[in-house]
Amino acid sequence: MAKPLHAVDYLAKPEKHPPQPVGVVFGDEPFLCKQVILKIRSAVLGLQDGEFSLSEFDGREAVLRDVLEELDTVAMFGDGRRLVVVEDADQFVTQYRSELEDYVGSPSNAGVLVLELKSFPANTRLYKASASANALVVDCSVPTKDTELASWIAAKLIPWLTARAKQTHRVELPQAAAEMLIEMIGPELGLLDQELAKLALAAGDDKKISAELVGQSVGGRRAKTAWLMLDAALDGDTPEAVLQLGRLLASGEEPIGILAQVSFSLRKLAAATRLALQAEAAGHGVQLRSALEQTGIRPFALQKTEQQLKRLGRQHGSKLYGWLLQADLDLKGVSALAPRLILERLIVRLSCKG
Amino acid sequence: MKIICEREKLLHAFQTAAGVVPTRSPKPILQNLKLEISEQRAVLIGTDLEVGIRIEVPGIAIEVPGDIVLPISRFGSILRESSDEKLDLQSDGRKTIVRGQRSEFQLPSENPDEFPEVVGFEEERYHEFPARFMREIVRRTVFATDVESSRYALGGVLLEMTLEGITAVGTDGRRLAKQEGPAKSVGGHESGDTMTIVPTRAMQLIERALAGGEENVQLAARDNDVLVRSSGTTIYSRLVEGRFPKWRDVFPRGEDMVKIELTVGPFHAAVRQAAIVTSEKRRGVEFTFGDGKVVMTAHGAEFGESHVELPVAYDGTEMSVSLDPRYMSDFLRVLDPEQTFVVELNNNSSAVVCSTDDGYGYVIMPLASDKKS
Repeated sequence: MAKPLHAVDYLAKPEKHPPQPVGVVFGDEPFLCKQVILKIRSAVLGLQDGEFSLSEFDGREAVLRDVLEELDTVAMFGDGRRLVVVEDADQFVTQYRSELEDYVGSPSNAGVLVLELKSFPANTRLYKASASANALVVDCSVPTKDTELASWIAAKLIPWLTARAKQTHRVELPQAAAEMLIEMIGPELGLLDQELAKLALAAGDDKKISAELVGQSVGGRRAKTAWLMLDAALDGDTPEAVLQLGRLLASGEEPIGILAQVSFSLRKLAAATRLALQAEAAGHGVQLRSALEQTGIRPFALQKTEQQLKRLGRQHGSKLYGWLLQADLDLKGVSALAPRLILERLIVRLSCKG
Repeated sequence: MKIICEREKLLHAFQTAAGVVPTRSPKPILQNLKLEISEQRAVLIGTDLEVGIRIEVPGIAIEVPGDIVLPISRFGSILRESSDEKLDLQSDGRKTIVRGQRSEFQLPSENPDEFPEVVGFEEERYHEFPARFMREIVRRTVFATDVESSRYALGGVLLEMTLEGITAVGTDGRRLAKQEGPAKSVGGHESGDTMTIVPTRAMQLIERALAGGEENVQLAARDNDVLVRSSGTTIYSRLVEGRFPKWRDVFPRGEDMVKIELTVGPFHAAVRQAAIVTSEKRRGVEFTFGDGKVVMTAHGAEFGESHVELPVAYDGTEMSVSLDPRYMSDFLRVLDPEQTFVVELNNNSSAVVCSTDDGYGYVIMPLASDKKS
């Protein structure tokens, strides 16, 4: 049985692989999955009102009946076909495995079904049925073994990165610069693309990214945790905080997860502010450092946190609980704003001096 | 604040206004209604910040003006359970006292100043038309909207207002309902290039608030919101942001469409019969027009087969199309059983158009899968 098409090969020439009634996009590289689905989307839906023929389901909650209902009905808008994407579909496949096996053998001709999976084992009947139905199966994973990774980087990732630089960012990325960039960032395609976008802006009139430019601009500043983002925000460095946020999101972090991490620290700042204000209202002053100690800030972080809280100011410090609550509710659906904007708004609030 | 109210009238207004109150909210005060008492009138206000309502409450004797915040569940229960014709209400800002003939309730009270403002209707440019037409717009379009998907623009009804009238459109991408009719434009009110998409929930609230009234409705669309007023009730709603699809392109054009006139009642009964054996896997009913009849057939592996015939005035070339019977029923349900409508169809993969002579149009997209296998 033929191996599934790898995402970088598919993205290099998507027109060679037109969408079939069933598609499976699997793997643990979220950036690649997103790019592949975007290509399938434009191929199926076309321009104009095609977007109204797109249905996205959350595989953890989706019901097969609703998915089939979409697929069976001729499209009302766009180029004539519907696109139904079931995201995070592993649980959906487990739940409706036999029905999906049947569907792959006799799919609707009115719609295209795309299942986005973490894994797609070759020994399952669904995999075999997909192969015999000529379904578009795209592998979006990155090799995990060091030996495989090295050859994969040389054979697939570097060509993808140079092509991406040329087609999307309109700059030339020589092999040496590409190798250096991968060396510094690692094989995380979302982060690589973010850095490429930044480097494209820094490139000179010749629109070429040299290895030297990569060394100067990227400089190993790689966001590993949300703490860097939070520190930048509390230090008043809004652009850096927003940049770190972008990196976190590009590396596949969930917005609600990022908020949860920063909330852990911010709640301590909020509690310290409240303690200080309560003591002041009761007529006996309290040292900020002592308030921070009471909230559980570790000794080695006391000095830095105290400076950050002083910079934030008591007025903003007393609003922290409210800001966190609002961001939390907004991310859970109260606001129509995009999750990234909700987090950026929190960053801007934290960056402003109180 | 002190008033004497007629319980039934206040209950009616309270129940209507309670329709906008959110079940959960980060602002607990929104789970209340505010009663604004001035020298001249009493106005009941509710909002969830997206949709708001102001209702003038009749039958209230005002002794001392003032504002009061009334908790939905507790005060609503008092109004429902009480058998008194009149109730005394008074508030000292911290608690509300409700007195009947043989009962008294003390409720904790929130600060009325914290209740968000809901704007009233003070527009000079608006459209005016009978409440009956507004109810018809809601009844005939709202069911076709899609409030669950991520295509937010489809979660409301598009209102297009010209100097001559109003067109309302709702769609979920599988069927589309359009109602148009005359309406008077006051002050040159038009929607122009602005997309006035009113959330489905607000449209349903408008229908409830207008219940049975025969007076006129005034509707003013602004950049980000819409205001609707009718006999003492004003409804405010933020508009759905986003672009509505080009709905006119959905109606097939061309002279090769076959037109067949049908009567709602008998056709609806036949559709319901044919749909009895449909299943999740095979939801379609095949409609075949020709030879002076329409034949509706359905077959599913689980529930057997159905074959229902109905005489129609059509002897032309046989035309067949597979449709979801629920979508056909949704259209027929909002019409009078004695009414006639025209169904237009072309081939088995083109949209089917149903229309009445009072400005109602409905498009159903056919099913594809039932033709396979």
